[in-house]
Amino acid sequence: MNFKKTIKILHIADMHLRHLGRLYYSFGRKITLGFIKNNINLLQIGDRDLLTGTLFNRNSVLYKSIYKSINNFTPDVVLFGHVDNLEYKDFVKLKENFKNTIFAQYFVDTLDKNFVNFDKHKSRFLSKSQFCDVNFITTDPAVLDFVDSNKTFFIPNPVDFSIEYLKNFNHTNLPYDVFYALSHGQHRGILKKKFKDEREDFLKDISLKIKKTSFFGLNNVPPIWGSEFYDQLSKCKMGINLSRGKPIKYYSSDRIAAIMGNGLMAFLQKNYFYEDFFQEDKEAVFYKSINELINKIKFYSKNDILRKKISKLGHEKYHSLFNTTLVTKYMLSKILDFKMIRKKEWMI
Amino acid sequence: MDDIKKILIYRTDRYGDFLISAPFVYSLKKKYPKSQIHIMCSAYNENLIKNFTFVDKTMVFKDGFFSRFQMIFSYFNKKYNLIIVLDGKRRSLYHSLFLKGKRYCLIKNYFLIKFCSFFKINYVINSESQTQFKNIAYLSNLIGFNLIKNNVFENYQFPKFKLNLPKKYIVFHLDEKWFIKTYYFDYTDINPSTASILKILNFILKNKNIKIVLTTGYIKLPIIDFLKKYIYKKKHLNNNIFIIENSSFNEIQYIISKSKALICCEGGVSHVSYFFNKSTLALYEGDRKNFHNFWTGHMNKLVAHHREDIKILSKSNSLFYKKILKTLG
Repeated sequence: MNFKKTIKILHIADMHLRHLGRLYYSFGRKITLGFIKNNINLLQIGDRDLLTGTLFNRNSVLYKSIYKSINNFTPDVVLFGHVDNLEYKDFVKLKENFKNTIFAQYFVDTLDKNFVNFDKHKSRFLSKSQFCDVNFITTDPAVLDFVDSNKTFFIPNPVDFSIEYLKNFNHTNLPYDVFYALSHGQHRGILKKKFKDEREDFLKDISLKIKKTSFFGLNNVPPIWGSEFYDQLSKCKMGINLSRGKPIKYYSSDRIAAIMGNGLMAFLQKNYFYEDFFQEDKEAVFYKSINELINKIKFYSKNDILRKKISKLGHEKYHSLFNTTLVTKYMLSKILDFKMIRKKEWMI
Repeated sequence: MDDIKKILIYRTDRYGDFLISAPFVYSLKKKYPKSQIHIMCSAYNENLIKNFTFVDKTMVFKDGFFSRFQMIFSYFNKKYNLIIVLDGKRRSLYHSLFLKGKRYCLIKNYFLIKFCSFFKINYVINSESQTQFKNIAYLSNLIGFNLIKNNVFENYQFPKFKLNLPKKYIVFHLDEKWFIKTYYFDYTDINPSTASILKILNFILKNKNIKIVLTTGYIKLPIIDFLKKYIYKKKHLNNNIFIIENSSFNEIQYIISKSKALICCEGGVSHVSYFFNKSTLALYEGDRKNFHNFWTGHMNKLVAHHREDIKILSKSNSLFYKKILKTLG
């Protein structure tokens, strides 16, 4: 993209530097890539990395770092990705000190009312939304009654060819039929001892009926990260997209990007309205119940030609609709208030 | 939040303050149509506020120590599902503490922010870094609904007025705000002479084929008598300018609702014109740009002009006159 002047964005999000490459495919990193591809002068602060080792006054340390960075870099836009270590009052202070700077945020966790941590998620989102000129969420704002739909927009989980590089639809003799990776929080990296995720029973039932499963994060199998995640993904024909909580329009964990972006055939849950973007049984396969899912896994594991065809079309569609360049360009259009010439289905 | 039956809102300041939060009250009623909304208001506003169909009951927040003390006793332990302190005043917040219910406050004061943080009262900072309308919209999100940007005067019950109004007109609201002796002393004094007001009125009549309704405020201004004398003498002016004096605010609201545009000093009347979607030229204090934006930034049909600039009324090509033409379309 070419702007009349260089646009400077200060992107503050978890950059996972302290995880030493374990989460190199994170949402924040993909957003960074997208902005750079759009010729944005981008400076990033990894808020949680910055506070590693800081035990006291964390919020004040972070506020001062952001304040100084804005003073030195003078960005046009400050984009927050979660940044939960700043308090509501700090956002107010930033807005009052930098009145001409545009503030924006993206929030990628579920905002489903039935979700167990809903109140926490809602307050994390709202603590920034008052002073953010634009908000981006991975749920359709129209179905939420506590977001200002005039300044809140949907963004999908993006993919980038430099990260989602696999093309599993080109391979026939893959050792596993279906892939799923569960974790008890990506920052933690290991499973909690006495914690049970509501999806475990669902996945255990599948593994009883499907032999060639590649499931991680349950049955005492540890979760996988980094290159190992990609190694395991490269061995699978299909992937299950199963999110926590009850269905809510357009929400999905970033699992969907890993599955479809790497050319695995995707089993998507119904009632999340992804049929709006992907043709049923042509670009993705949709399921409503566990029995339906099991039957479909069995069917497609035996029909490799059909599996490869759907995977390929789904992969192409996902990369054309939800690539990082396009997602960040759309974000820029909302932040800087310009019109996108070629709008995609998910854009307002 | 679905079983909300009784809601109390504190808005004990002026009518313009209530108007800016009227969409909040309107949207709250739409969200919880079966709820009873009670407004704790000031004595000035009660008669106006009770005409809104989305308000079920108004109560006056009394002045004086003993009256307030009495109020605490009469309201002590009353139960509301939601208590919302929209005026951000200490007295309202303290009074609300004697009632039972989930509390939300819109506050600006540093002490109250600390107070609310300490006692874990839900609060929204009413920061002047953006419009008050946005802050109120955020408060509504926090409670769990979206602000509906609708005409809050929908179904407003205007009494029957006996007003002599022309068919097509603009309103020129000449009230005490044009003179610092009758308004805030730290404001720039416009203090227009009879001649300069006549010059503006003539300019409008000359450039636009529209009649002018000149309304006044609560305070009787000597300039009105001078204007009347002059206008009544000149047939051309007498046929086109209608002076309506000593009108109630309700009458002024009605006059604005039927007008094409409004020229005024920024205040309650400009908030009224916003809800009736009328073009408005409002004069504001130049060194209070943020403050002005805080109050009027959400008004899409408002053209603002510095009070200082109006001193050069003699130059017919000045920016002020250009803005008049822009406002009148």
